[in-house]
Amino acid sequence: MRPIDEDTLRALAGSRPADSFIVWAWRDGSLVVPEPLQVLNWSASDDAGDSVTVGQKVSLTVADPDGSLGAWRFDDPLGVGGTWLQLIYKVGGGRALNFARLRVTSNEPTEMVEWREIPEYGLEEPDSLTAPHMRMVPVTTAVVKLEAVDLTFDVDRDKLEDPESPESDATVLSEFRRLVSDYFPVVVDAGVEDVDISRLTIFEGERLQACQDLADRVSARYRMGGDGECHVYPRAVTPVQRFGPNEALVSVSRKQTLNGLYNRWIVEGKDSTTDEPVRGVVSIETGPLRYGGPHGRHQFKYTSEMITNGTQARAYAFQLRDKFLSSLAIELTLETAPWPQGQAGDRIEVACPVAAGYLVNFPGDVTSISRSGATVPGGTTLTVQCSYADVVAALGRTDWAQHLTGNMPELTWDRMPGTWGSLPAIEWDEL
Amino acid sequence: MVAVTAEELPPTPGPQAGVTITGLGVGESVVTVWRLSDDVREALPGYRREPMNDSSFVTDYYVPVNRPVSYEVEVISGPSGSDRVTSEPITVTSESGWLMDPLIPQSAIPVVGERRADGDIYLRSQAFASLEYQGDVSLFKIMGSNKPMALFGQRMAETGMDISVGLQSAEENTKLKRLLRSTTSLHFRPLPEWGALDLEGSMFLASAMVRQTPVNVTYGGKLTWWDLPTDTVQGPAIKVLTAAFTYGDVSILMDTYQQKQDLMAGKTYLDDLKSPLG
Repeated sequence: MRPIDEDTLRALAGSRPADSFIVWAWRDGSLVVPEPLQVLNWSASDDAGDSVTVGQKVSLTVADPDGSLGAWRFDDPLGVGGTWLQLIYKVGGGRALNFARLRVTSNEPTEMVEWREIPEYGLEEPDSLTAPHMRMVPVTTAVVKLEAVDLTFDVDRDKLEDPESPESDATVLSEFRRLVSDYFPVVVDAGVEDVDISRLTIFEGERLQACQDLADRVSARYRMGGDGECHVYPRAVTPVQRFGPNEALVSVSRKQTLNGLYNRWIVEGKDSTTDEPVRGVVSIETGPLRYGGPHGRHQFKYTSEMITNGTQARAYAFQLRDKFLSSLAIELTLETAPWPQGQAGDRIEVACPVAAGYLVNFPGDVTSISRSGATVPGGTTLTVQCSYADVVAALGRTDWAQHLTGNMPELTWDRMPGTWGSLPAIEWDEL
Repeated sequence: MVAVTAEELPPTPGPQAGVTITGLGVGESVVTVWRLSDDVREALPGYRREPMNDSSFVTDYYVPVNRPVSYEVEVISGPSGSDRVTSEPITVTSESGWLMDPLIPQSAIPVVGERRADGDIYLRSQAFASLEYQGDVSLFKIMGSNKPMALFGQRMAETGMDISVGLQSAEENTKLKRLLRSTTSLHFRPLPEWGALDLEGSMFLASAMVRQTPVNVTYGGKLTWWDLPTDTVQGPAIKVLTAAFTYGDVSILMDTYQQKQDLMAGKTYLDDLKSPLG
């Protein structure tokens, strides 16, 4: 989550003047456009996951009243040659928060051309539609669509020219820092435990994937913060935000599909000495997905030359099953009010109304965020992965019941049960 | 010492003001020229961060009429640092409002509120009948709450503003038609006395559609109505395309360059900018 101050957080909870983006364009340490860009509309996506390398992508349409921002040359103000954007999210009535720094990857102007005929003494073009001494002048006004991605993109393009190995006293995080040191500073968030790294490790080819592997070794991921700094953040953390009824949640939806629900893992290999095939088979034996039960039979088959005996095959099949069971998740799609401080990778809590008649609190990881807006921001859509085990456990809890106390309200007539009968006769003797 | 003076220029083709800037110092200065009138502070089109050297003369083709106007010269950088100087207010007078192509000041056409002569282009009764101010509001219907959360967008300037005109002169109609056919962007200067409309004195308008109604022209009359629904927009960021006096004019008017030099003998570059014919 991006850092946010108390007042701004309070402003976010209610009606307010519309939020807006302040966008500055930079190259080589100086502004390329002296004023903030006039943003007409924008959309931003943020993804986190094991296979995501560059997480944040933004698309902006900016006004270009004098036609100077559409690029021809690479070093034009918003050309792709090294221009980066500083995005500041201004919360209406509150303060601003630094949203992102992004490298411009494309510049696509849409120009409107209107023509004016003006005098140009001496101009006599042969076979021209314009009369002599007159010239047609195009006046262009434009909107420019910019695509931009976060700064890890620069690391991604920079391949490792030669294989590299860590220094003798290197750790996982010091290696991470070394690989990206030309691009941005690295902040290690609380909860990430550094470990030593073997000198025999070899990094080859992809620099950013090497970083991803390194972060993975300390059970962490990386993502860019709002000030151009890279955060290495732990995977399992406590929720930073709660969404629910009266807590910024507009709607929540989900979908269950049959795809990829295996219940038997078959690992095959070849015995190194006898060339006989070896085989390990592991199934789910209980529960709704059990092998041969109502779910049926759905096998996952893995074959490798590296598997050389039956024990290995069986052990790997167990590993595959456990990985599958721990990755079982329910994906919730949340529509929420603007949540500018949120980042993919954050852990949140969703209070979800269920048919049983109460709220259930699901913890989950935000795997993607998409936001968009024009003169006023639109909603925010979050994709949240809630682990299957957590969901099943949460469905079995009635959290509201913990607030039941022994205190009873006063007994009044309107609280009487319907079968109590009619009111006792009142004697009007005080008239 | 940076100094700025403003003056009313001869009203051809339309009302204009001249702004003389002196004392910037030798070397490049970066200057923005702002116009202040009716509590509106607006940069002159094309004069944001304009490079100048020591002195300059700027023509304001968009000056509001019949109201006090002053000009602020903001020196952003220059030989003697940054500075901010405001001129004494002036009032550019005019009998009528004006309509023109913002990029071609020569197209200016007077518009009156009340018709007095056949040649007058007058506002019809439907003009300014109502003004609309739009704004975007984004609503979030938060689960569990019966009142949506709202994000309020900025209120826009006048939209759907009708400046429909009528006229009873074939000659004026040709001029107006030429203007409206050449451009969809218009510059409009209303008179302050046109009701209590509180319109800004210098408005840039987008007119996507115009409708010409030749009321009785086909059987010999001269009455033509023009329907002009418009929306207020930002002014252009560029300068006008046709200056009042061009290099071409000089070469038409003088046979040799020596003649021009003789004309300007003893005069400064600033004098030349203000009055090219000496």
